[in-house]
Amino acid sequence: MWLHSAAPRERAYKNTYDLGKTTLLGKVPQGATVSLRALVDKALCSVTNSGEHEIYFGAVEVNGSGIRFYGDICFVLKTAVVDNDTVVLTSNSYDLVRPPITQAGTKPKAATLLSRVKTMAGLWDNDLPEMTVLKALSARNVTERRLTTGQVSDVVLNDEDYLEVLKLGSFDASDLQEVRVSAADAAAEGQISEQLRLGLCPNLAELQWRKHRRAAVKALQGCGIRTRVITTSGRVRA
Amino acid sequence: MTPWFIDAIDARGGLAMATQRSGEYKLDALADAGASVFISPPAFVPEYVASRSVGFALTRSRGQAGLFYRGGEVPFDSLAAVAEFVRRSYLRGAGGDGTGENGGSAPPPSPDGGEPGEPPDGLRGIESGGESGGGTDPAAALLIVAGINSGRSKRLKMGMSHQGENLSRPVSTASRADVRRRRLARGALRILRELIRRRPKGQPNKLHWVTILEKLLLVLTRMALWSVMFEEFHNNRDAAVTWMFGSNYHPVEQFEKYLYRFFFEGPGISPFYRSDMWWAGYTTDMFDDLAAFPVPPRTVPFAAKDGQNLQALLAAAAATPEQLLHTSDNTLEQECAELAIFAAACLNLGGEYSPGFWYPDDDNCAEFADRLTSRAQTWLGDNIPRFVYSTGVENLIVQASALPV
Repeated sequence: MWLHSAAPRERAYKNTYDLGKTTLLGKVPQGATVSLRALVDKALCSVTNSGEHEIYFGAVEVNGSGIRFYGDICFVLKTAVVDNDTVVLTSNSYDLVRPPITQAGTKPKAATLLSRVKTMAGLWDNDLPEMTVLKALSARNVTERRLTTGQVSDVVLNDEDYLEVLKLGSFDASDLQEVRVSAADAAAEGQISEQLRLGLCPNLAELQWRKHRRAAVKALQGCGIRTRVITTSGRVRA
Repeated sequence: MTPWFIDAIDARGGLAMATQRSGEYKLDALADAGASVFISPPAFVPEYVASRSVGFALTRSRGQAGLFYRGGEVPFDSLAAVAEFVRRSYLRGAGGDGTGENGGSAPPPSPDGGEPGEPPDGLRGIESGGESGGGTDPAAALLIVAGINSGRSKRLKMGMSHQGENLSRPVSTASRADVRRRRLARGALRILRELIRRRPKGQPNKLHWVTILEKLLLVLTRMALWSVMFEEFHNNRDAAVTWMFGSNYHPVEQFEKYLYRFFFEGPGISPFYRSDMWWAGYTTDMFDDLAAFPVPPRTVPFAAKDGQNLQALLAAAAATPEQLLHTSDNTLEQECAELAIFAAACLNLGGEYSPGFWYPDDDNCAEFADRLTSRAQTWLGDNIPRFVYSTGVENLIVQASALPV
C-alpha cells in the first residue's frame, strides 16, 4: 500500500489537519475556508466512523512506485500497520464532487455525497480482493489465461486511477516496509549528476530536485529504511 | 482568453495543479472548467490530466488549495505563465533550505555579534560598464535584468505577465574581459572572507570548518584566481591581510597557514604550488559544496541560519533577481551579483582545472577564468525568470523561501 499522507505521533507523517497552521503562499480570504475538502471529508467520516482529522490518505499499490502526483518518493507500509477494517474506496474521493455525481457549477449536496460514498466503500480485509478484480476486469479483456502479477499491478494503480485508502491514524518511519522510486526519476537524477560532473551544468531546478531527493533518501537511510528503484511493475527485483 | 488558476500547489515541493476556468474560486463548488494540468520538477512542463480530482487530493497533505492575494484568487494569462510561477516558487523556496533539506551540508555557524563592515582599504573600485556593459560584465548584466524586470512588474496588473528580460550573452572583448575575471575573483574573495570570519573558536566545529576551507581553496586554485584576487587590493599586502583576516589573526591549521602566508607575503607566491597537493585533482559534488560555502548573512536575510550559503543566494538570484539585485543599496547589489556569478562558475567548472593549477601560467589562467565566467553568465541567463508578474504575485514568489517543508 502506498500512502501519500498520515500523524499524531511525534515525527509522524502529517495530514492537512495536522498542518492546519502551516504558513501558506498568499492568504486565503475569509469566506473561502468552507472548502470542498471539508465537505468531502465529512462524507468520508460516515464510512470510517471517525473524525476528519484522523484520516490519512493512501492508495493500494502492488509492484509500482505510487501516485506520482503527490511526490516522487513512495512509502510502502508494513502490512501489520493497516487494520483489517480500514476503508478502501473504488476511486479518488474527490470524484464525489465531480460529474457525474455532482454537476459542474453546483454546490455538492451532503445527502448525495453520503449515499454515494457508501457505494464506493469497502473494507481492506473483506472487500479488497473483489474490488481489485472488478478494477482489473474493467480495464482488461477477459481471456482464458490468468492475469499476471504485472497486469494486476498496472490496473490497481494506473496513472490517475487508483483505489483510495482511508487509513485511520498516522505512521512513522518504523512503520515503513520500504521506500520506492521510479526508474524514470532515478535515471533523470543520475543524468543530472553526470552532467554536473562533466561541466554540462544542469539547470538550477534540476539540481535542487536532485538535492531534495538525495536528502530524503539519506534521512530514510538514517532510519534504517532502504530505497528501491522500481524497474518494472511486472516482477519485483531486489 | 480564459485565464488559468491554481487548484492546488505545494510550492516547496514544486508540485501544482492548474485549471483553465473563469470566475472566482470559492472553494465550495467546482465551476465548469476547461483543461487541467499537472506541473512538477524537475522539468516543470505542464502535463494534461483527465480529472481535477487529482489536484484537490494534493491539498490533503503538503499542498494548499488555491492561490490568493488580497482576497482574490490569482489568475494567470497563459499556461506558460502559470508553469513559470511554479518553477520560480520552487527555486526561491529552496532558498529557505536548512541542513536537513541540503542533505547534511551546511556552512560553519556564524559567530555571535554583528557582521563586521568593510575596512576602509577594501576592494578596489570597479567600473560596471553601465547599460551597455552586460556583455563583458556579468554583474552589470544581472543588475540590468533586475532593474528592467522590476520596472515591468510595477506596470503589470494582477493576472498579467510579461516575458522576463534576457540576460546579455557574454561578448568576447579582450580589452574588457578583465572585468569579467574580476567579478569572479571578487565573489570568491567574499566567500573566503566569510569563511574566515566563521572560524570556530573551539574544537567541536573545527573539522567541519577545515573541510570546507580545503574545498574552497581547491576550487579557487582550480579556477586560477589567486593572482586576480590579490590584484583587487592593488597588490597591497597589508590591505589584503586586513580585509581578509582582520587584525591579530593567528592561523592554526595547515591549509590556513598556506592561505595566510599567501596573503601576508604578497603576490608571486601561490599557496598551493606544492607537491603535497597531488590529491587536489579530485573533485567533489559542487552543488553540495555550494550549501557549505557561507555567504554574509546580510546578503540572504531570508535564509535559515544553517542555510546562509551560496545555494540560497543563487536560488534567490535566479528566481527573484528583481528582489535581490534591485534595491536601494548599490554596494549590496554588487556584492550579491558577484556571489551569484561565483556560484554559477562553481557549477560550470565540472572536472576542469586551469593550466596554472600545477605551475604559473598567467596568460592561460586569465583566459581560463574568463571563459569560465562567460559560461557562468550564459548559465545564469538560462535560469532567470522567463516571465514576470505584477508586484503582488512577485511578492508571493519571494514568500516561498519562508514556507516550511
